[in-house]
Amino acid sequence: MTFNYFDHDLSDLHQKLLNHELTAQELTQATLDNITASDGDVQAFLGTNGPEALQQAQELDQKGDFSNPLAGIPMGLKDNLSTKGLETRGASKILAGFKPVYDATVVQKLQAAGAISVGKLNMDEFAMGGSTENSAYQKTTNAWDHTKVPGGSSGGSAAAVAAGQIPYALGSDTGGSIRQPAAFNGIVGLKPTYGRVSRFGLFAMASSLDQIGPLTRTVKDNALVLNAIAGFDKMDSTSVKSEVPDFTAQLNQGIKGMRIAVPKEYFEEGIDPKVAQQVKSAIEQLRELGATVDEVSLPHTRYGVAAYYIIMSSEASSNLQRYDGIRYGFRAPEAKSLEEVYVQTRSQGFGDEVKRRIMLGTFSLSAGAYDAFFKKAAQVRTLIVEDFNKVFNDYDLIVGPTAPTTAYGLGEEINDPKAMYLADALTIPVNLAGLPGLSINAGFVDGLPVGLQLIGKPFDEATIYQAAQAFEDATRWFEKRPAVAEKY
Amino acid sequence: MLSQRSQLYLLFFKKQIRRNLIYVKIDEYNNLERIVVRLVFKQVQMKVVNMAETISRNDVAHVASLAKLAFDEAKLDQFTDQLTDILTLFETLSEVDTSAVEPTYSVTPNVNHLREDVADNWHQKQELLANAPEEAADLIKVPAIIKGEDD
Repeated sequence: MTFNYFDHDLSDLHQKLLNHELTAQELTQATLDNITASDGDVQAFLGTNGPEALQQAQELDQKGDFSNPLAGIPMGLKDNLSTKGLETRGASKILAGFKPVYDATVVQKLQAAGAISVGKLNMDEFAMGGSTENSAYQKTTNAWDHTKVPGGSSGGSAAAVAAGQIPYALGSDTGGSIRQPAAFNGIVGLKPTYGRVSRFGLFAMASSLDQIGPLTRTVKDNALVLNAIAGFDKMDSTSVKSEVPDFTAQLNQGIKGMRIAVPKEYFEEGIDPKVAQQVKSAIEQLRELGATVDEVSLPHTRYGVAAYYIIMSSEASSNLQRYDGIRYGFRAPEAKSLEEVYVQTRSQGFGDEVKRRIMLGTFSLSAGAYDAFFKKAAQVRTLIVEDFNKVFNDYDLIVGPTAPTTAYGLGEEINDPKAMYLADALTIPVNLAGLPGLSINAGFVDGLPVGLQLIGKPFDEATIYQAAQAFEDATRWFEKRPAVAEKY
Repeated sequence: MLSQRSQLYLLFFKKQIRRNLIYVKIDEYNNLERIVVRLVFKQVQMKVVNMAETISRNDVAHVASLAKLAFDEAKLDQFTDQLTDILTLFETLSEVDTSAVEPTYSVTPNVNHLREDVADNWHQKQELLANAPEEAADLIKVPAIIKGEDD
């Protein structure tokens, strides 16, 4: 028996569990049935852990404590989040069979809240990619059109939520990997401020850029999940001791008088004109709701993209050195010497995109190139941060499109270099500056979702949610359902 | 002996060089000839002009060995092309004057998180060994590091 998540949000589910209209076991079993019903088409899940999930649900039902807003509610985790004793592979062959020996902090927090993880969600290998096609295991499809990509690298997380398999999922975002798949699948995805959510237990890609965040169908659901996962963690030395407000508190305050900035660099050549039109209508909607909207400039945007590739690949090349066939994961069977273990394991275990980025990063950091590449990129990063600071002196939010196109076809690539460039430029600077960024559905173009991105000041997720909620109430795009919804 | 490209550049700047409006410094930097042109009469502007046509296949092979990756001939050629493409990234970045800019390596205000130097034990030996590709005698087993006489 399946469950129709399109008819309920987290608050509704919470009430039903409190009133004993639903038990955690029923909901968990129904969720597993959802996945069976629709994952043939969507392929979001790499694997489910039905027995463990049902066990957990049973214990919860026995204890009977559903006071936490997330208690008893199933969810999914991106395959780069460590779950103790459950296979976690980062969608890579090099970690085949790997079972982490601890839970990521976000996993521990959700478990303490009573959330039930039902399985691991597909992604680009080690989060490297924008379409989830770089997964070493399977291709995930877009929830709205199974011939299109779900975006990436958190494509499985976004597609599973958009397809109504689960009410929420966690993803990770280094250069747009939560926001872009959220845009392609028409849902809400937030990348929190860098340092807001602990990275302990997240397979590191680029340590100064990575953040974990929630993907949900509504703004309030997103805020509820952020409430549960945010907070200082002594296990993550980049975690910031910042007070965690109740992110749902300001949701219904509206946006009268809010000052919104739209960077002209985000509407440059390369954006699909229909997408641009849809996003501009969305921004008009914000004006109608009482915000002031002005055009601004973020002049170093294009330098930010170049800097990102150097910084991201340098940090990633360093972080991926640990995959050496010695202590865990795949080890090349024919390796006869230590050197062969390293080289053969990595050459056989990594996919092409991963190798490409490792090569780029290793080059950028190598003797002689370090100053010209890595240090220079870090200096440009300072200029990006300053661009944003200048705008935020006078404005509360920066908005624009999340992606320059809607989801493209599986197996296709973006051919237009200007579109490819914009696809990076729209999301990357937010990671470079460590700012919070959210994508919300702003409507449809030819049946495919378009994302509106809202960027906020450091640690000001509350203002982002406030604006997103006002926009959601006025437009209610989340009420539209993909065809796959009929399977439940 | 300068490459043809470098000579062309020098020709372009010949007039200014003669009029002492700029000075030209040519040096080697990571196998790339680099002409540093400094416009003296305007505000000091460093422009690094990348003279290399390509990154050599040897450079790429060296990077691959640093990264502990092996490639066949075709892939090595492919990567040589791709890494040469990143010179355009470098050129893009060179357009920006960062002479007075501090690098940003991390966007948090944190400096160091310290804790008391007290040893902790997570008692995970068995779980950790369970993940090892090969284990023996409670240790992770690896191929020989030092060649024996019978090799």
